[in-house]
Amino acid sequence: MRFFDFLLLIFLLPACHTSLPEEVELAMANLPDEISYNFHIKPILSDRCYACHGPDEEARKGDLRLDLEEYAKKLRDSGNKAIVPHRSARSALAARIVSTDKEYQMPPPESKLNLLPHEKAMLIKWIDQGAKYEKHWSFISPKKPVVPAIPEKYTAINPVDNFLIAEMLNQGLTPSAQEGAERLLRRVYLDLTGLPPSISEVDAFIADQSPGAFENVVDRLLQSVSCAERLTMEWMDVARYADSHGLHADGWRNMWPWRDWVIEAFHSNMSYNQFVTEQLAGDLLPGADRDQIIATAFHRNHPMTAEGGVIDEEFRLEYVSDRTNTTATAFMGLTMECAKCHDHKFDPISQKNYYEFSAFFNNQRELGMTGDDGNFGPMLTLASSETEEKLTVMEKEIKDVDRQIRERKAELQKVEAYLQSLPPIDIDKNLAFYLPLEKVRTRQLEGSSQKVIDGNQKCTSNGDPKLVPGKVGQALEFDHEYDELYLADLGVMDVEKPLSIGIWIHTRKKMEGKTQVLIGNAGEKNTGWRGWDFYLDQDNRLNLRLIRSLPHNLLHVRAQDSVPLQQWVHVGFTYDGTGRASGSKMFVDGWQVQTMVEYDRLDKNIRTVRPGAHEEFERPLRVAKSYRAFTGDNGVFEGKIDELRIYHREASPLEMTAMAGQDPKALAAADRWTHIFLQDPSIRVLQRSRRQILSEIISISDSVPEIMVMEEMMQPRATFILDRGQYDAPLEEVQAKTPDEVLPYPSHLPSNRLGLATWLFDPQHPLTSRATVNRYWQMIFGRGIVKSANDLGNQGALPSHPDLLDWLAIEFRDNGWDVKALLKILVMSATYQQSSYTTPEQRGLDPENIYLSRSSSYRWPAEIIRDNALSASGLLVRKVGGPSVKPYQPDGLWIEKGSFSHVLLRYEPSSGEDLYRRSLYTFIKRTSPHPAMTVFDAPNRDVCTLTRETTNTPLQALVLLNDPQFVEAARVLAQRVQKHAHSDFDARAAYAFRLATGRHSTVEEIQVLKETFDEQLQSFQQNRKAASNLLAVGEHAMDSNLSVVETAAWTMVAGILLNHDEAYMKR
Amino acid sequence: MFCDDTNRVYSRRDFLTRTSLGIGAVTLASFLNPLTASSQGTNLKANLDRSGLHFAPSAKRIIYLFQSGAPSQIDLFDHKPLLQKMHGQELPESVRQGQRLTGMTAGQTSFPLVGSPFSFAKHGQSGAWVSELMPHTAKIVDELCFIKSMYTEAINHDPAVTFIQSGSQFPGRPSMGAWVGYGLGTDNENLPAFVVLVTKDKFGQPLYARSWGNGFLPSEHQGVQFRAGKNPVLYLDNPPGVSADNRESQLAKLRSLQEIQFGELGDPEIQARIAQYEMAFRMQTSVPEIMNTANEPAYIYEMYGKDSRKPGTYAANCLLARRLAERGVKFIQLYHQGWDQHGNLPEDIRTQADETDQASAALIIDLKQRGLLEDTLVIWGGEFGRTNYSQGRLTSDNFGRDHHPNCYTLWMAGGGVKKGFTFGATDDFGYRIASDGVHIHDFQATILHLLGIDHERLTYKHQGRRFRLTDVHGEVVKSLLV
Repeated sequence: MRFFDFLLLIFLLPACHTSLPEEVELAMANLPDEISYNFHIKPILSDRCYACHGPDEEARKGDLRLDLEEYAKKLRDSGNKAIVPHRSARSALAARIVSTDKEYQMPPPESKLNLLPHEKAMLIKWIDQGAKYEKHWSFISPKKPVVPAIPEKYTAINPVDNFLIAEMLNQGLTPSAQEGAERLLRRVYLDLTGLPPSISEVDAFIADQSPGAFENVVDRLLQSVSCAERLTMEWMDVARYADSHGLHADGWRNMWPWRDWVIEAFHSNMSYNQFVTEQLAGDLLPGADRDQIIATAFHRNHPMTAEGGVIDEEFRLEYVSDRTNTTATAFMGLTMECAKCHDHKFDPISQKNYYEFSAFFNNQRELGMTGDDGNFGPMLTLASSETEEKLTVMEKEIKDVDRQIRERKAELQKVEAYLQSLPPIDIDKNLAFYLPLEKVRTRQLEGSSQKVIDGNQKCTSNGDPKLVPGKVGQALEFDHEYDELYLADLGVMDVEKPLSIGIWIHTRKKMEGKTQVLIGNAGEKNTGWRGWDFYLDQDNRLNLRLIRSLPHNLLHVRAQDSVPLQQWVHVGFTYDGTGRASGSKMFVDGWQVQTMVEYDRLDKNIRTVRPGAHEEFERPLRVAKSYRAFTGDNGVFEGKIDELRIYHREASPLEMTAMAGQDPKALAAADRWTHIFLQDPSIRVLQRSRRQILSEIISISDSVPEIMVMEEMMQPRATFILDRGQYDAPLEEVQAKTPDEVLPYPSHLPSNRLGLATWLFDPQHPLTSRATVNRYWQMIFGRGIVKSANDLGNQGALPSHPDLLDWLAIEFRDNGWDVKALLKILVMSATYQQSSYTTPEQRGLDPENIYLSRSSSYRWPAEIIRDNALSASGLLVRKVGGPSVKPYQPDGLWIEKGSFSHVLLRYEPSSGEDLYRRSLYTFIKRTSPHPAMTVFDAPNRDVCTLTRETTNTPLQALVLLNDPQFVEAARVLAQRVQKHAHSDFDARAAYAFRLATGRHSTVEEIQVLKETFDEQLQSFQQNRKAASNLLAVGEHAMDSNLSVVETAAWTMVAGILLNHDEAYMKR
Repeated sequence: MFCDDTNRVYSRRDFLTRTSLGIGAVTLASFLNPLTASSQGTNLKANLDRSGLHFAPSAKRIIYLFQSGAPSQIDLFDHKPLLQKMHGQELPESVRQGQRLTGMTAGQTSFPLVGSPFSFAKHGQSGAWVSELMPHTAKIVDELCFIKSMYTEAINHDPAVTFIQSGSQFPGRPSMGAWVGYGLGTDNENLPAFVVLVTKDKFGQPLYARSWGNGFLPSEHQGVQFRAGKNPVLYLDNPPGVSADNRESQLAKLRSLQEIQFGELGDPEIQARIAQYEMAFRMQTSVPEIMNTANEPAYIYEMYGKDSRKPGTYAANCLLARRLAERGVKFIQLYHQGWDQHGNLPEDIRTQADETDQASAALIIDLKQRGLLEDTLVIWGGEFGRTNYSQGRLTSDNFGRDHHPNCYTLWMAGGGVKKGFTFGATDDFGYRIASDGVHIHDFQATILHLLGIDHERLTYKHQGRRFRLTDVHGEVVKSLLV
């Protein structure tokens, strides 16, 4: 580095006396008066200088950084300064950029990063104006700019036009003429609703000469449900909505109620701040209602994995990251993702900032590895109001029975005689199953050998458990993971059925992260772990779980203390069939022990099912091993087991004491009473009726659909900075917080998602309103004012019209975050209403149409192209909402990719009206999305997407020509035109033309269609079979009154129209 | 004194040059000089072709025979006599050293080592070890470049496949083929640059459309799947009843309409559309022509094996791969599922080998005899390796092997890699790399290098960052190059 400074010293001095090169002098004359750091200087520095003089410490040269003011202006060891404000002649930077000396010149010639003359001039002028640094533009709160005046001869309908026209004129451009009625109407219909206008709507608009005609249309469209669907379509990309999990098995999930919530929110024109707040934190709103909780499904739309063998925590943290990244991108246009592994290279977001921000989303009780199909908690049940009423009545009934039981108990307690008498205790009475574990016999079974235990055919092992001296006689020792016992045909266990277990164990194992299952039938991930299990956790504490589905629908209690190791201990539990954690007790050596409730929310049955198909079957109980697999913990028990007793009733503490060989007399009176209560006939009658009601409640709840939502854990989970983003490399613990550089987090806000949402909508927030208006600008004009809608940061594009962006942002904010009012401003502008035609000269001046001197033209999104075809043919079914549908797609695309998902194994097309629904309802399976949509750049929803590509490929032509969806639409359009009032070809063709493209045709165009028809007719006349084959495409019935040959020829004509430029291009 | 940084600096500049030719965001450039800002390229291909090359390429195209599910290197190529000697004994903790296992075996209490039950022999002049499972591959070892020291970061299929195919374990990035198409364009106007062939009716670990997806690149770079049977490319066939003549005359009229439209609007996009319709029409001929292998001589079928007459098999796809290579398709990727032998390995791996061995070898021989091997890089391999210990119970005639990211074997041939060469080695337990580890990103960097692309310079700006296939890693493995 010394060498660098030495050079600087030598070369700076002569440079001071050198006048500027001629081309730089010339460029000086054409610079703006005020040089802006953000808009003029930083783009140059960032692109040409930061590589060696930027934030990246490792790449830095000469110990100089230009991205930070204090470094750029400080006195260097050499005695020079890179930048001396107001003194370009004394600034090394100025000297070096104009130098012709290859050794001294900056950027170095070999870098090929040469500066253009006007860039050099810009830098020099900026230094001479004081070299003022600014925060990145998007991190400075927007201030309402003055609306620029424009010459009178140009029409400005609203301030949007003033900003745009002023800049057009700056660029040597002028606005185009007003668009004709037909194109304008189609444009605004497709932009705002995604559907084309009907012919009568077009005619009415043409006829309406009143000054408010267009505005009336806009108002009507904005209120339509189609508009809500259009806005939802756009939001589904942002929210990465899909109908499948995305990773590995890519199984089925049920999230469409969230999509319908979005439609309803847009339809009611919910303010954007409410819209976002409910999606981010609806569950945390005071008195949150069901809809507000459904809204939070937004952050459960991320992909999830069910791949056996993954580390749960790794993927759980991946989901947290997804929420973090999506929140930053979707609402702020900020790319935080880069800071996951290291400090952001370009934006002032540190790795600490990233994990602080992620802490808002790290507090859900959720799984990293789920099952192949289905939703996983936290979930919200979506019972119909009818069902809810029914459930409420029944829950009241249960309370009633509970009250009667309590009363009866109180009565019993009063009966003196009962207090004195202790009925005889016989632990073998009403015993469902008893295994003394005394004998092991081997039998041959279909070529393999099996062990039969105690001569009981119900109890077998495929392994090799050893007989060893036990607590009573012999016991079985398990020292191998394949030694487990199976107990078959013991009856189905369920929520409302009481159960008690007593067993002697002698264990030595106690390993981090590993459990030892004593007995149970709980399954693996693809059954949601359904069933029950009784096990020792990694701290050798007893646990009992009754599981419907992890992690959110289960009852889980655990003992407070560990059981002793390396000695015989009698352990057991009783469960009374109430479906509540309070209904279970645990016993160690006969004495009831303290338990903790880990989770207590079980409202569906726990009957075991087969993986995938989910059909019920009675899975044998397993002793000494779990049915879990894939998770890294197979629940293998190591040690000895003796004297297993199973009761299909709630055993009393007395019995548990007796089982453990303790003296029951030592028990407290209350425990003795329990024994009496449990045997009282009237209590048993009451309990039976309680069970009956509970069983009905459970069976109703079983069929209630659920949706994945957000839900805070009671005990907040700690969040850590993760070294290089690795799940198993936690560094410092952090608290939920937003980056100060964006906007400091007010101390009065709670550190949760609700606080975060409030922060986002702080009036001073520099990003939220800008990012949002930019996204909607992009939706209407095809490209954002900031072209990189997903990145308003340092590496993103600069706004083409910064003042306009700020004006809109403030307008939007001050107007109550009213999305439709915002859209109205955009489409009402004269700029929007311009013609898309332009002269080659204007096009040459602004090929990308950044300055909007003409209306923007681009290919419509996939959904709109298909909806237009369905609409033209009259096939479109205007049903709003409901489960996603499956229009035609080529056979075999799902199964060829994977066979893990049971529900999404084969694509089975819908039938009837579901074939013709709007495309936003098309089912999205992430690893195999609808191919016709993908070809037209629809994303597969793996990640939050703000901008779609608009490519042009031959595959698109093939879809429009050959996809049965479009062929059928052409065929039905052919039928439609033939039923048109006029029978002559030209009138029919003109009608078809209007249906497909929204505009009247020219004589020339009709002539082409006529030729098409004649040629095709002739061909089909020679091959009538071909004609009927063509007309058999699609499910929609062929009208038998029509001529087959003519309809086929019309189908080819209609096919042309659906492939016409104006059917898929915005004009 | 700036030499160290030349590449880094260069890549930025290079990117700008490339964007001004029409890709992606032209943000800074267009702001600085809006009047000269480029058009959204309608003439993308012409500009891109070759201009993306950063070196003289040694390979012009790639045929990637992806063995999905992860073949057991221990039973195919990585001969480990020690395992046979220690068969049934516990994997020593000194070897495992607390290494992360998948959730499938992490619950096991015992990790018995399994020696391969298949016999190994040295083959060819190069003396490469190949097991009895791959007799045909054994015959061509002198053409092959084995990497015995591949390693990856992912331990499960989805992340590992996504990693080797896109450079990231999580979805969202472009696939390797999409990067290549983006960088190099196409050599055949009538065919996609990136073609995917999947063995039909073969189940196993799932495939994901994202493995040949375009990620954030424009969708024209996504792989196009060619299928056995009537409709080789989705939507390629005309609807029933519509003959080629019907279609041709219809398209001629469509063109007339488009020209009228162009006359009125003057939007060059319309002309670009017309060109795409024409290419679509040409594809309707060129694709079936490629897929129709009826004219291949009998000896070719014999070479590829009897399966090659059955459309949709791996063998038939290998033959198609050669035909696609002949016609200038840049990236041809085959997928063959079914290598995930967690259990029942001895029987199942034999089936897998039978399905793939002969055709893979035939492809090499066939390319060679046509002079195509010189500039075609063929790659054979999966997403990770398999464990040296048994998953599940080790019995006298059965065992399984779990996922093993630490080391595995992959081979390449042709296209500028050394012949009859073996690179890298694993330890005697086949558990860790003993020398010359090749990380997935190194592998990707090397492949791009062979195509003439500097992996650090093929970038695409997205979400405020310039992304590349190799993320921020990857070293070209020079030792593999001729």
